[in-house]
Amino acid sequence: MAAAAAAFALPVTFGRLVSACSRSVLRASGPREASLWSASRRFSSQSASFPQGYVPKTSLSSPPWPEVVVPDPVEEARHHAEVVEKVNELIARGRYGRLFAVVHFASHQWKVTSEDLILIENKLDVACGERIRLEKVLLVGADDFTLLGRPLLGKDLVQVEATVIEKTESWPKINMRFKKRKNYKRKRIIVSPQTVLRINTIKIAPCLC
Amino acid sequence: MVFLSAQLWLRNRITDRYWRVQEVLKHARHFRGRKNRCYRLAVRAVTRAFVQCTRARRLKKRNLRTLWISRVTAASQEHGLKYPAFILNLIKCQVELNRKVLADLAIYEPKTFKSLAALAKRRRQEGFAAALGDGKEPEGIFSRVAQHL
Repeated sequence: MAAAAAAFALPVTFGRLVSACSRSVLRASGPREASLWSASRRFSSQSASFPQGYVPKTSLSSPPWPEVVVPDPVEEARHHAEVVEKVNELIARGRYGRLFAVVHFASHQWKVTSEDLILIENKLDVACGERIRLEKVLLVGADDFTLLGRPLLGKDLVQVEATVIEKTESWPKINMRFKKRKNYKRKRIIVSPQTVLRINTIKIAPCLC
Repeated sequence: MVFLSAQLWLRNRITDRYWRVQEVLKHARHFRGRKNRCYRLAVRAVTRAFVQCTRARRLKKRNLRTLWISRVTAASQEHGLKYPAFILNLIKCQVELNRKVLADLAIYEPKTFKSLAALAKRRRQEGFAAALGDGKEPEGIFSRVAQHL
């Protein structure tokens, strides 16, 4: 409704503005005056050709946030299919160097490559020297592509192998509580078990869809 | 005859005072001043050191998290996003990377971080479109939620 009212108000104001212009100009030269008159006629005749719902730009004509443009879904789908095909091709041909992965293990997330050492602050019921497969993989990446899991990647897609190298205890950590002037002093030494894992390999299989 | 004053000469005396003192002084050897030599001063300094060590172990977790957050903020600002928008939209896309890993990726894997920022930006715009469009347009592509059992 506001837009319609604005459209109706437009030609009237325009006409008034243009006529004021032509009166204020002191009829300096003939050709200029003619062009001014023809311009005003052009502008006033085009008042009907404004698109429906046209609102002239003011400070309140559009919302203060930037306009959100979401790209066309069909084109997007095509683009996505292209990207997936390219990545599949790269994986199938083995055109990647060193792979890194983000693995969730022992309630921590580790960013890991091959030949990495990891120190875990608890005991695993695995003998030293045994191979382990780390299953919860959140992200795998190479130089040219990254595979993001939502939240995890499939077990048939990524395989991360590790070996248990040593099972030790931590250095003796001292836990002391002390309150001054109250004769309160407690000392406790905590030695927690630790495990060291060496990440052997990270492998990906080309079965993206 | 009963000798009653003989047992009064028996006293319990410490023989390993040297080792008890060394146990405390060994933790103070790297301190400054007389507290690395004199037992009386060293006891106080070592107690304070142990108590501050326990307190720092709890503060370390908070400080490291603040550090990661500031690093992720800086990296996402480089890509034109603010930290809350970045994290929120990553969570909405079901990408459950924690701040430690995000900070590491921002430092060592810039291309991956750039793609994460682009993902968050796109999800944010789809969120805006869904909120402003009043359900007439179809759902966004990146707003689809993968259902797990």
